[in-house]
Amino acid sequence: MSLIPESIEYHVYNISPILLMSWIVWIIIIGLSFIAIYKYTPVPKGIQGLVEYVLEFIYSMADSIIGSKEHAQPYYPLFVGIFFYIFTGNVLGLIPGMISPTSSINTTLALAIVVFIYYNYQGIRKQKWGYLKHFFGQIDLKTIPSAMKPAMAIFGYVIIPVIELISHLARPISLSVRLFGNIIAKEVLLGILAMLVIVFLGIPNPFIKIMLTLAPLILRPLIIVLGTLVSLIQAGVFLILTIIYIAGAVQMHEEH
Amino acid sequence: MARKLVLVSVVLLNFAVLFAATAAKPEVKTEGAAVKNEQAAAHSVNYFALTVVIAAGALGIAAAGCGLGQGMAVSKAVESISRQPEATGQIQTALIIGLSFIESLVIYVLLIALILLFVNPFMKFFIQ
Repeated sequence: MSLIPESIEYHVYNISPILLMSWIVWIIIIGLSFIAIYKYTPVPKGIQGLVEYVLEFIYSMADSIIGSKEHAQPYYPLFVGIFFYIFTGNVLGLIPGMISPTSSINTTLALAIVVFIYYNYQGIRKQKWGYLKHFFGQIDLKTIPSAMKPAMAIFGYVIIPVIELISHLARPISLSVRLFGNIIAKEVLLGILAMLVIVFLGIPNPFIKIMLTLAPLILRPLIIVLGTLVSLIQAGVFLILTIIYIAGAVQMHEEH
Repeated sequence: MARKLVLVSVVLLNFAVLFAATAAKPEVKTEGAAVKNEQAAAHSVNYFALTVVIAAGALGIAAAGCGLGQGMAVSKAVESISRQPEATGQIQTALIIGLSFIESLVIYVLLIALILLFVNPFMKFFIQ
């Protein structure tokens, strides 16, 4: 990381630490999946129960936002993958000595671009050319008095697409920057607190040394607890936004 | 309310301008290489000091706005939970989503502040 020098740096040939952490996340997720289905019981318990609980939560959220279970079912794998990857990636950075893979703008931008391309592709696949209707707002020219027709036509077919395009382009940017900013703030804070402990241990005066060292030392576990909450919330927000974007792209407008 | 915001922002702006104005100004001499270097050094100290002040000040203003916004969101959410306790689950979900949207605006400002402090794009003009 260029922003804050980690006291423990990994040099595995030429692989960057962030990439290494990303592989560790995947190893954890795959290991968890294998442990969960190793002894499959119809009444779940143990790790299988935990994983099923999380899956049920994601499925019910997707069902309620997209509308119905048949519409939402094709997209379950993306939701599950995104939620598990982001949550495990964020929590990995809380372990002293590890870096979250999501604390690099490369990872979060990649995730956001995947979501962007995916929902556009699903919208085009489901509605073919009707997908472009999303960009034109919902203006029905027959119900407007004819004196205002040219102005409303310009407003509807020129101005609204520009606004919609900008707001669609802002989606991957805001998704990636939100996740990146939260996680890097937590990482920088933890790193600075660790550095403060090391610096304060070098003060010769024993009384002041103990007093000053206790502050970052006690602060670190508290920030780690707060960081777990923030990691969970950020993963949940990414998931919910993904579901909302896919719902917006895939749903037919039946209100006409 | 708006008057308070205007007053606070005017005061902050005054602080920034005063700080820049009271920094050491290089005297006007005949142009020589050593004098140019001194002037460049003074200008660069000026620029970096001002950048740090602005970064921290911008974060302060962003945090103030975010605090106000999130406070209003939470107060409305708690009020509606007290009105209808059986809708608590949905209200909590909507509250968390809304709070993270408001917070992401502060994260954008934090991103700009981090860029200004650590990988300043204009650093190459000041480092020879």
